[in-house]
Amino acid sequence: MKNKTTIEIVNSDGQKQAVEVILAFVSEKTNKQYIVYTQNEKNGEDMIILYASAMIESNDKIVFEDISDDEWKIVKDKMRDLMHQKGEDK
Amino acid sequence: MKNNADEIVVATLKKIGNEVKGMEAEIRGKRTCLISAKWKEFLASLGYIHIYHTFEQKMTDYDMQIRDEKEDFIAMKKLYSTLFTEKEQENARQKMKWYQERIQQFNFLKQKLSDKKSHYDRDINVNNALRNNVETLSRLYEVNYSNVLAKIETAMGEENKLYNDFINEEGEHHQRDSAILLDAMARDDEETLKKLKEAQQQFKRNHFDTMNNLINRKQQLLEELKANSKQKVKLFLVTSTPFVFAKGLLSVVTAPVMDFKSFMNNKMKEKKKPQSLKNKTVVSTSTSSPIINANQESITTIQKLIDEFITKTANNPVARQQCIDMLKHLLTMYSYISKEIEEDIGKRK
Repeated sequence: MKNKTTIEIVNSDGQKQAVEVILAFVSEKTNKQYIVYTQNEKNGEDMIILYASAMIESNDKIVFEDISDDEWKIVKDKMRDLMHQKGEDK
Repeated sequence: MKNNADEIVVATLKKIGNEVKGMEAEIRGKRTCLISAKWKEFLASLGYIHIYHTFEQKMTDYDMQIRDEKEDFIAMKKLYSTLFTEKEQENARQKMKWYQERIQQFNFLKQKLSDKKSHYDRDINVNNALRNNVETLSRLYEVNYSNVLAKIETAMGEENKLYNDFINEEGEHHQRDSAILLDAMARDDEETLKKLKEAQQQFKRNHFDTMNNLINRKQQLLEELKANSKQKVKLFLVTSTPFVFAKGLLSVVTAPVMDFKSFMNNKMKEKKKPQSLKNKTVVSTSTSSPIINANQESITTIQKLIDEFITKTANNPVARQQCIDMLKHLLTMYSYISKEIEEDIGKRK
């Protein structure tokens, strides 16, 4: 097993928070960076909540911005492809 | 391109992963989705490998795969040895050996089935080839139907011949069998034999009745002929040429059912015509020698005609015999009448 990649983000309340990176990639379509991460929160049905944002580097900081429906589809397809591809390899 | 993109991502992550001080990630917007813990772990590990696989350029894909498999193997071996005892491991090996044997048998059977399938496929191919040939022949027969028809007719002719031969042969057998059966019935069944005898006698009676009727009829004709006046007979015999008389007789012979009496009456009527009668009478009464000569000529002619009758009635023995009998009677009568005429002439002299 690999070590988890953890980063520290600043939430909307201005507080720093460590999150686990699930996936990060650059889309060839949009030429933008996207990140999928989680705080390992669970909903009532014991499902993990994932978050997806576009990573934009601006001056001395990185901003996680909201993504459009098309970008969201790109992110989900990326996750789906990876799971299928690696699942078959296994 | 892809590697560069991965490097960019990794660099970004490093910046916000506290590897670059002062760099922070600020959340301004995000999308959310749900995933199971299992898949989340799986995806997280994939993403990690995915990123560092391209980031750490020193390691090739092959080395990475070997390292992973080696680690997995060591881990599994360690886990296996801790979970099972030596005996359990030996049992597992025996079971594995048994499974391998089953697999070998299965593969053997599978090969057999494959061979059999090939055999069947070959049969099917042969059958298809045969079917195609038959269809081709059928088409050719349709095209050359006239030749085929001729062959069929020839074959049918031969078949009919064989059939007729068979029927004939069967008929002979049937007749022979019937005779044997009849004989057997006659020997074993008195009633049947009696009936057969009665039938035979009845047949003979009918046959004799018919013959008797014919004889009676012939006798009746002779009696009727005698019953006619001698003068008429004399006159007829003298004045008629033997050829005409014989010709009439021939007609009687060749047509037995003809009324001889009517024939004679007709002839008489013809000769009773006044002119010819008068002329002939004069001749007959003028001198005896012409009459005798005429009689002699008539006898000769009649003898010739008798030969002709015999020839013409060669294939009809019954008619021939009747003819001969009748001629004998007529010749007897003719001789008798001639004698009477000569006596009459002698008296007149």
